[in-house]
Amino acid sequence: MHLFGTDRFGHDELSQLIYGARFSLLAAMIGTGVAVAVGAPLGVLAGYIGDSFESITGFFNDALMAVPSLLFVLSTIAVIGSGLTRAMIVVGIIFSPPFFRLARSAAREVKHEMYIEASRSIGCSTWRTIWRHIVPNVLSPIVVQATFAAGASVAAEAGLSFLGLGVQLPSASWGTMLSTAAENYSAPFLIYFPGMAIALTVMSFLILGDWMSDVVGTRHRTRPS
Amino acid sequence: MSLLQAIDLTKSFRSRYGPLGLRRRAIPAVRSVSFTLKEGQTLALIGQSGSGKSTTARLISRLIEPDRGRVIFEGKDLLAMPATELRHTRARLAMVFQDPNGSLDPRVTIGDSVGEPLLIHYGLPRRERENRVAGLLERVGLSSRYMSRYPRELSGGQVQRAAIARAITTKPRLIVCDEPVTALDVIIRAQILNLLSDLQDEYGIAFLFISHDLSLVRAFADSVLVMLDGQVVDRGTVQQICSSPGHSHTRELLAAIPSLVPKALRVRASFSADMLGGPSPEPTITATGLEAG
Amino acid sequence: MSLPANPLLVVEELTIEFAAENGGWVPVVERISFRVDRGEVVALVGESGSGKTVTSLALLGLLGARNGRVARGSILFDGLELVGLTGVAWRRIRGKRVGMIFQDPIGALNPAFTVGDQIAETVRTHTGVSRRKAWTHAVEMLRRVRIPNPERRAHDYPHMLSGGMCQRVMIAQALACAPDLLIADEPTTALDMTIQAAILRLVRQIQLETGISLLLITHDLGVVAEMADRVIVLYAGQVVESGSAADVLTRPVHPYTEALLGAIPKGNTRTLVTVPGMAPNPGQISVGCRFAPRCRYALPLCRSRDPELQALGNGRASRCLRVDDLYAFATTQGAQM
Repeated sequence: MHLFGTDRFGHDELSQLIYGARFSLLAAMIGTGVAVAVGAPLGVLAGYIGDSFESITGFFNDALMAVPSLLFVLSTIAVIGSGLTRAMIVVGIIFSPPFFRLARSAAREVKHEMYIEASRSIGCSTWRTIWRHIVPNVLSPIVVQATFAAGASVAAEAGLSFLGLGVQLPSASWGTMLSTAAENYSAPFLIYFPGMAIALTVMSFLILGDWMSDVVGTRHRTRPS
Repeated sequence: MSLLQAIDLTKSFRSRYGPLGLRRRAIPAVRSVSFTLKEGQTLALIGQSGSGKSTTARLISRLIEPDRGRVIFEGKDLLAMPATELRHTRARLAMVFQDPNGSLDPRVTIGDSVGEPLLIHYGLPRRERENRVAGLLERVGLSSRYMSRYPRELSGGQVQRAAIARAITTKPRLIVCDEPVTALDVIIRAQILNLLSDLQDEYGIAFLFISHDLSLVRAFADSVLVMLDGQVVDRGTVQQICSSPGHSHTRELLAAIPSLVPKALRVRASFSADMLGGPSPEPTITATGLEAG
Repeated sequence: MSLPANPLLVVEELTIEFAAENGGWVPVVERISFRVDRGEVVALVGESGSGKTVTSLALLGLLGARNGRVARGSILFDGLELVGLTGVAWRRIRGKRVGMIFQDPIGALNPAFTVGDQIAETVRTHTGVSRRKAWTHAVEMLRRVRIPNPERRAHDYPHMLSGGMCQRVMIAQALACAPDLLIADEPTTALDMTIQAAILRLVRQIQLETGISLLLITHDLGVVAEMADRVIVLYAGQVVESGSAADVLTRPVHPYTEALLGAIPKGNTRTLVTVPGMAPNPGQISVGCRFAPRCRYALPLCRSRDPELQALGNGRASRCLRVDDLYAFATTQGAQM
């Protein structure tokens, strides 16, 4: 019983849809993970330390932002080869600049707070100050941005797999399902299902991110006197 | 043998924009400041905003590096110390800051904030830290139930008590207090000043007390330094400063201490001078070229 | 002392509430009454949490922005009831008949406009005169607050001026339309001590020259001594003492006023006389005198009965249950005058 029909190879559409979700989740995790891991720590250090370290890392960050992302991804994959993990690592690097900027500006702001000076005055080392006092105050905007990056990663994976650069056939991700369906004009409904799955998933991440930014925004606000 | 010696401390800040726009200017914040402080004594640094007193406090605790000068603490040159030794020294040189709302990390509980020095310097386990912190909080007049609260749940006076508790955790020899009571109400101010006096009597702690209010330190300090535009313009014991001020700025500050005699009971003559629209002082031009008043 | 001839502001049984987190309303100021006569300087004294700032907000209809409301009572300004006034009517009062100056002079001025523009704007809003006339008037106001070179200074932005100068600008702006009443909320707290003295001198001079009424809101008794004719002392949202400044500052009749006076450093005594604890929060008011937990004269009676404000004759009042035995001089001597 094929609820959503089959593709042209006879594979059940619904089970492919469900099974393909794991690629999307994997993509979201790798893409977001790499983006945060590359952007956030460098951003925090750049914001706190400042001086030439900030100038240099900032320069590279701006350069990365200026590069047209699709070109960068395509050319990098051409060199290192395709496959979900590799593709998503590259995508993650492309997504890292916003994290760098958020972390840097948050760290810069918090750096001047009196309690940072106070923690130095009790003998906190630079690392301890950063880890225990700067980072917790920088997390909120990072977390919100991460949910947006997760949504974008899902879309990126779909696009890359559609182009044949991400997940490889015969494994079915939503992107490959789209590409298979696109070749088969006689059953146009085969495009709807993976398309809707991608759209709904991305939208869910965006809504989640929106809600989170409201939640973290209102916590830890000082009371009006 | 004095506990603290400051020798020729000098610091300028670079500002990017001068008054005309884009010129770089060096703003001298502290100019050749020297003083000594003995064990168990209180030295007050008095000055208005821009006098350099807060910058001096930060130079003493080496939160800022001076351009020139030395700081000798417990016989050792603070400015020549390597970073690790400096950090260990901070166990004996504590600081209390002005703004109660800003000096404790808002995301850390009072108990953890007050206990942090114990973790950094002695590596005490959690249970032990909590015991000590409870004792310290009681000593400064805070119930130990505040240990699990956050700074925003406490009043200004209570947070300042917690900040003082954090400062005495490692039994410091010197506490630098940067306007610790300025942001507090009158009665709470008196409570905190009494607390600091008690701690000094009990533990023999020396205080470097920064303030703009000469009336506060009159009661609390042993000796006073008056600062203006980054320089020390007057110094002496509290007695000397108040009875025979050596500089016009000191006289100005003494005159500015408000009298509690209600205006209706003041001498009739001066009251009439006001009514006739007698000359009021024009704003003064200070050495930095800015107009005050 | 003459009978009050011409009350400008009469506050009667004013109760102000704020929205609580769980949905109810918590009273922050309860049934306070006071008056300001024409040409008088009245000081509303209290520490933070006493309700003094909230009262000043109510006098200008600014409670709504902070989730507060006037629950009961009346505010009569020159015969006009201010409680329940509409937005349009408020705009005719604020700035034109009642001026206000705030605690943080630099923060209260708009950084995007020159000081001359800000004052001129106020003038034009209320009088509709031409730009030129408003500007001339603005410069004149700057001159009156003793800012040197007012013609040039009027073109400055707030960040170019020192704190004391900004406070003068704010005074100029508040007085620009010649209001009848000036409300000053901690006008000198953020300023250096020498500047404080100069600003107070200026305000006193203007007050004497123009005969404007002044409501001073402060916790600083030095300011009160310098400026006030009469004093109203607030504690935990209630009036606990009132009287002439001369009386209240030299012979207080309430333990809280005594504590305030005692906490001020005088001379060389090392330990300041003080009372323990802090004022109760609005949500934590219990039965009995609100100051009793901290009062050295407290008796069991003080914790079980809510004291009323007693008139002691000659404009003096006290909310202390023990006023007769603690402050005998005031109740007998005062009545004789």
